[in-house]
Amino acid sequence: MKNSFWGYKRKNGLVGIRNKLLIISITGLTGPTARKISDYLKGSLFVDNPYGGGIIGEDKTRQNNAIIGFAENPNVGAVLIISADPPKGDFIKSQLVKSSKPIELLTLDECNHDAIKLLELGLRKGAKLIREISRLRREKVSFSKLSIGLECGRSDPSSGLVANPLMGLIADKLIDFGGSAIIGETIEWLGAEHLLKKRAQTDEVKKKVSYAVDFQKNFAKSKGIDLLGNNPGHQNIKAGLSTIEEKSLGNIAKSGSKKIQNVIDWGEKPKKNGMYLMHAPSYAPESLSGFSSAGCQITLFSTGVGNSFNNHIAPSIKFSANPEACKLLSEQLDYKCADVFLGKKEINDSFEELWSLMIEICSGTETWGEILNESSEVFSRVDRSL
Amino acid sequence: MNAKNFDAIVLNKKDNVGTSIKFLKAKSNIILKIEKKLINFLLKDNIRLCHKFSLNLIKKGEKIIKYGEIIGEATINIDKGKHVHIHNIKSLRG
Repeated sequence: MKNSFWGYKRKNGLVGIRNKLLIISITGLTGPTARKISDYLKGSLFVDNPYGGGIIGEDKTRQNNAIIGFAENPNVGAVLIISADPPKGDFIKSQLVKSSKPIELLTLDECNHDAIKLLELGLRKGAKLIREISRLRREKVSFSKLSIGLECGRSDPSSGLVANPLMGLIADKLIDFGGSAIIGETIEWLGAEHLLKKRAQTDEVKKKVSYAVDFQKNFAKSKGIDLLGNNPGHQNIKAGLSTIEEKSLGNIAKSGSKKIQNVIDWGEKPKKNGMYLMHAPSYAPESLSGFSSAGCQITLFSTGVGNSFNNHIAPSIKFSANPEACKLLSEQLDYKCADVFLGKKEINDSFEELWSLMIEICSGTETWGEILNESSEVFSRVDRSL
Repeated sequence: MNAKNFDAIVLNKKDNVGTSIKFLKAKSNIILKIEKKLINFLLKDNIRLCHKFSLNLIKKGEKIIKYGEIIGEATINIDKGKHVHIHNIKSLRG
């Protein structure tokens, strides 16, 4: 199997599968203008942090880390930071120096809080950055440079039977080639954590798996939530999933068979190559943003009955093994594996096809999610604002 | 073996439920794939795509096994060939 693709080499040694200008509004006040700047500039990616000064404590750290993580993602060639005031903007900019990419900061302060002025300056700065990064060419690079986020959404039993085990095969192969992979969605380890713990690299990692699962379970309990109807959700239940254990066993099939290196927090970067668990929420937008801020360049996203959402910075390869979804969702599913579910194709043949498609997409072919622009980034929160 | 003609699958030989790969009618004789073997099986209920059914009588309180692992327990006696879902099984964890 081919172990290389055509990517963008970054000065710090990382490799992007895309080369985009990230326009990131880091304060709520600047969001609407920053969005307009991005609308004008073809191919730019817009990320909106709708919060500001009222964010304190752990949420403040999380948000700053996520902003830095999105900006450091190797798919981002240059960054235009838009902030209401200089201190926060200067702080973020200073944290990004080591990424060695072009960074510009614009604040509403320097425009006398005139949104029209900000729009004009942002367009000029953004346009120049896009021209600058467009000079870079793709080169042949190894899969050891790739980090992949593994997601499932609107799952049904075909996910656990075919699509997720298929992802597990991809993860195993990528790790053989020296890359890394992450699964998140902690609550969907519940009932399958004994299998994850068996694969933990150390006893400490084993303890972290238990801690994470208990944390989410107790959180649900403390709010009086019955998991049935929430996770599995109504759509999961309609599609045939009956309990969280059943969903979890299907979910963890995504993680393949390699040792679990560590349990990391939402948005935290893996330190080495190999398989990682991200202790994070389950709902796709927040889960996927954990992967892109952790530096994943691509996300594999299985669905049972269909899911139109994709990650913004790390393109999502969407696929399903549900025969009805495969018939209906031709401009959503990048890959269809219903034939494996129906016994007409071996999973190994499907694995080779999906691997080839991944090489193609990493080398520049656009996903349906990119073409249709059905993607965004969100910030994870743990607490209230002041 | 003709792998192309079956209606439902059993993922692990320890399992006491099968999963349909197409809509299956009540009282129909279906072909069930267990590992590499195909066997005939009589269904009692309609089974929608991807839904589960019991492979034998599962008594109230007995564990439901899929993927060779526990996915819950029966809340009532479930006859062989019946639809297995949230109306007759419950999670032991959630």
